[in-house]
Amino acid sequence: MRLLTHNTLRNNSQAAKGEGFPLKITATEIRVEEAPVLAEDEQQLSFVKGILGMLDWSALVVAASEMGLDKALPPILTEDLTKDEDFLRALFHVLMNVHLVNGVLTCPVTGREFPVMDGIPNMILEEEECETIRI
Amino acid sequence: MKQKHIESHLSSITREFTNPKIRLEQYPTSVELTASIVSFARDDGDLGPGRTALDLGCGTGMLSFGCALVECDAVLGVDCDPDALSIAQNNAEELEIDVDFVIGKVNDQGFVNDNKEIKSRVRKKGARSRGRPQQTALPSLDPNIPDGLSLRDNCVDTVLTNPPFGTKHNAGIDVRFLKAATRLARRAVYSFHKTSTRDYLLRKISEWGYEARVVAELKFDLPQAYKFHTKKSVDIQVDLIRIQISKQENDNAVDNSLDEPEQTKESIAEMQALGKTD
Repeated sequence: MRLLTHNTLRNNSQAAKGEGFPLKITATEIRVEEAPVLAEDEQQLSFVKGILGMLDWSALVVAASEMGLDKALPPILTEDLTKDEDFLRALFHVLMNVHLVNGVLTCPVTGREFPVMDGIPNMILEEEECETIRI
Repeated sequence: MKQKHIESHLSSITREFTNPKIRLEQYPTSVELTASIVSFARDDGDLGPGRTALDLGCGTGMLSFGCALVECDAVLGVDCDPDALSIAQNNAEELEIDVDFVIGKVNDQGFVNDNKEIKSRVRKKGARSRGRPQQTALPSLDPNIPDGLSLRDNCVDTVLTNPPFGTKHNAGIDVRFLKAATRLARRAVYSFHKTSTRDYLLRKISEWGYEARVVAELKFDLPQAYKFHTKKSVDIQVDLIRIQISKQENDNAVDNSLDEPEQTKESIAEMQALGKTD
């Protein structure tokens, strides 16, 4: 599970009442892949610029630090940073190349735990946890 | 990557489920169909560099790998069966493709017409004497109940799904999948549904506020679903539906139609000639 994926995960159970994010990461095993390949640099920069607006930035900052990348990301995303290519490259690496292999994701509101094994988070809600209110 | 190349990559992996769980309607999307759809979606700008994709009900990963092979920047595969995902993960390693997988389940509870309603109607003498047929409708999943997936809204550009069509135990599951897909996508959804449900679905999609069109008509050759079925497989008419999620047709337009402008017509024609399974 990479940090880009973690940024989209939520505890959508009834008990969490819509506040079930960001999930706290407790990592027991992490895998970091090599830094971006030069040949794909332009595509990677373009991708990062494109998704910047979609990221929950504060959640990402905390998650990166929970994955052992202490202070890897600035607490606030400034306009200047979005144009800084070195920053964008580093951001690509943080989003895409740092994987949680084994660990637990915990809901900040209910404490409900979602295990991560072999890189795959188990996000299945039990029947009782599912919302039954019509949307 | 040309369609033929996509096909040859996909042919090299394990697409079959080891012990398919009939209850979950597990069967792989065929190599040719996968390559056709992802090529078509790429030409429409829905997949490719600059796009993120999600395969809902990914099974052994066919559609996920198809998205990765047309160079989507990030692909997520979601399925409720850890056994299937284990095969998918091995496949990813074989192909040296980086896809994230998540175990997640589309909520299959919460029915409209629950049994109590049916029984009480049947008991009323009035229903029979007025010449109305006895209520025999199956309890069907209410599409207005939250999908139970642990993902935020609009988290990817395009969602592809080959959903279970539903049996008497979970009629309407395909509509749940479709609704979930529209929640997760920012730009477009591609999904398969029985042609017999086309009018109902297009109406539902319109009620949800989206435009949709049937992109291709296919014949699926589905494996034996019930023990009492005598045939080994059954042919079903199937639609591939594309739903437009983003409001402006050309927002964030990405030009991916560089190689083969004729691909679109060919892809549709090929898809029409294919079955779902190999």
